[in-house]
Amino acid sequence: MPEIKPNLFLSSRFQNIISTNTDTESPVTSDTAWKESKRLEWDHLIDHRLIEWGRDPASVADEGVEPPTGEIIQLAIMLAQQLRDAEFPPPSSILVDPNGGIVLIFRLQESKVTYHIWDDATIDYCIFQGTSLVKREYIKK
Amino acid sequence: MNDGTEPIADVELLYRRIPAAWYDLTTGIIGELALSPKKDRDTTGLSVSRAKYKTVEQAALGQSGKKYFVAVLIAGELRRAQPAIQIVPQPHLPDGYDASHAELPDLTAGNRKDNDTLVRQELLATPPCLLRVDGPFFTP
Repeated sequence: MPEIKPNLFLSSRFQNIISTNTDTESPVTSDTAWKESKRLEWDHLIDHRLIEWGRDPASVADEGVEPPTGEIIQLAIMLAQQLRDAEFPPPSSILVDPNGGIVLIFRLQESKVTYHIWDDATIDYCIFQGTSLVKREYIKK
Repeated sequence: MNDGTEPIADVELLYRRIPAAWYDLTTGIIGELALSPKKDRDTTGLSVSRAKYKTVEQAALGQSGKKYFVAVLIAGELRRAQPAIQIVPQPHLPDGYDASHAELPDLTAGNRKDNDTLVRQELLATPPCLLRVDGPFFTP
């Protein structure tokens, strides 16, 4: 399976938007605890959302909603693990799209960043300011 | 007499059913995924219902045992959006006739990954195109 390298494509603008607002003035122990709590949040999303979807696709299926395949779920897990390991804050939500894709959504006031694993296994990320699409790039074609 | 083929007026309201997973009740945010074309269904346009022909409860009916919300859209605001979102009456369906059925031909299975389609989905999910979200409604 191809390696996903989300960080290679992150612009400085994106990194500003997705800033974790970590307090760098506090003792190192606080920062470590904060990072650990975020890592646990990521792990919870991976274990209780993505892996669960793989175990029970019927939990996702709805009229007009196709559950993601094992390949798409595997890609989403890989992407989530890489974002977690790069110390991104956990997403605001992880949702399926109607066609069997999966989207990780990071909402930040007027901005929104999405990582979309499409049903054809391509992956892109988008940055929206309000309803305007200001950047879109494929990280796996 | 109107039969669902007449043009859609700017003042008309349109309904779009939304599975519960795509609506956050606490923030009031609709996931734009609820407004994504489906690749095997929305070949000529994203489906909506005209409020003049259907109650919101009827528009909310979906799979048995599931919960849904309904996005209420304002036709004129869709046309005024940038990029514009056209609305056409489409009462003739493969499995019958539904006077309430209309389509948004700018959002189709074929262009579902285009930038303009992603922007149109965002526009549909926010005011002024989005008037309100009704629900939840349970399908027995």
